[in-house]
Amino acid sequence: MNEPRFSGDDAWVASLLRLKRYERPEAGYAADFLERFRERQRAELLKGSATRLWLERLATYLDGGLVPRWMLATGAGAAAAAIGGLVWWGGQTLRGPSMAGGIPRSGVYLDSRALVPVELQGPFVPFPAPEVGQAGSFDHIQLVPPDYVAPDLRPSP
Amino acid sequence: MARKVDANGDAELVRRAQAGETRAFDELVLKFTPRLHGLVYNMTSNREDTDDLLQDIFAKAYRSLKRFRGHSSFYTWIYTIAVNMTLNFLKKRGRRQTASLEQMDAEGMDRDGALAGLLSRSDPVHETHIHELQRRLNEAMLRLSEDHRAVVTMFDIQGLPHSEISEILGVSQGTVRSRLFYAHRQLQNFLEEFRK
Repeated sequence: MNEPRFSGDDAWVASLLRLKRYERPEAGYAADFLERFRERQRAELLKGSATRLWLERLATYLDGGLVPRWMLATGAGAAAAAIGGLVWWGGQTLRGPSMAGGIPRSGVYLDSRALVPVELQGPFVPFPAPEVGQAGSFDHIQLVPPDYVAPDLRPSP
Repeated sequence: MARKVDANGDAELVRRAQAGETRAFDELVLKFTPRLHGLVYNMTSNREDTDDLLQDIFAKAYRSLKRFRGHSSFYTWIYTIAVNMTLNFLKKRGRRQTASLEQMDAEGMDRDGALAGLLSRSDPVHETHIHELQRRLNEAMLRLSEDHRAVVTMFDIQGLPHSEISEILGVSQGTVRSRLFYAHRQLQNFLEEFRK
C-alpha cells in the first residue's frame, strides 16, 4: 500500500487530527450499548405490527447503501415504463379498431377479452345443407308472400 | 495478517449469526462498537446523535444480515451501512449542529509518539487547553462538507487506507485523495491559530 507521506502543512493538519483518535466514550460503553440495543430490539418486537415490520424491512432493503441508488432509479423507471405500457395497451385494446370505414368484412380485431377472428359469413354449419330435390330439402314448400307485400314487389311465379 | 485473521473470525461470527445465533451477533456488536462509535462521533460531533445512530446502524445490520453474502469483509459492509446512514442523518440534520465532546484518553495520547511531538512543541498553556483544541477541531470538522468530513474521519482519524475508503464510499481512490486534499486545505485555514 503506497499511502502518500504528508509533508509540511498536511503533516501539521494530520498531527492535529491525530488528537481525535483519543476521544473515547467512557469505559464499559460497548457493554452498556449492547444491553440497550437488546432492550430496543425486544421492545420493537413487542410493539411492532406485522405490517409495520414488513414496511420497515422493505425500507431497510431499499434504503442506505445496500442497493445502489442508480439501481433503485433504474428499477423505478422500468416499473413506471411497464405500468405505462400496460395502461396504454389496455386503452388500445378496449377501443378496438376504428369503425369509421365500415365493419371489416374479415379480419382480426382486439377486444378486451381475447383475440377473436371475425368472419362476416354464415354461421358455422356442422353438416352441409341438402341439395334441391334431395331428401330432407325444403323445396316442396311454397313460399307465399303475405298480403301486405305490394303486388309489384311479389316474385314472379 | 492480523486483519486477515480478524476477517476470518468475523466471517465465522457472521455465519453463526446468520444461522440465528443471537449471541454471535452480540459479539459482533461488542467488537465493532468502539470503531463505529469513533466513525459516527467524528462525523456528527455529538454524543447523543452518535448513540442513537449506532442503535439504528446495528438494527439495520441485524435485519440485513441474511443478505450479507461475504463479497466484501463484514468490516467493510457494516462500515458502508454506518457511513451511508450517518451521511443521510447529517443531510437531514442540516445546520442544526450541537457539538458535545467525548473524553480524551490521556494515557493513549502520552504513548503516541507522533502526538507527543506535537504536544511537547506546544507550550504549557496549550497543554492545559487541550480541550479547547479538541473543541476547535470539532468545530473545524463541522465546517467541512459531509463528504469531506467522512473521508477525513476514515483516513486521518481512523487510519483506513485509501482503497478501503474508496470501497466503503463507492467512489474512486482519486476522488478520495482529492477530497482529502481539499479538506486538509480547509482545516488548515480553520485551525491556523494553533500553528503558533
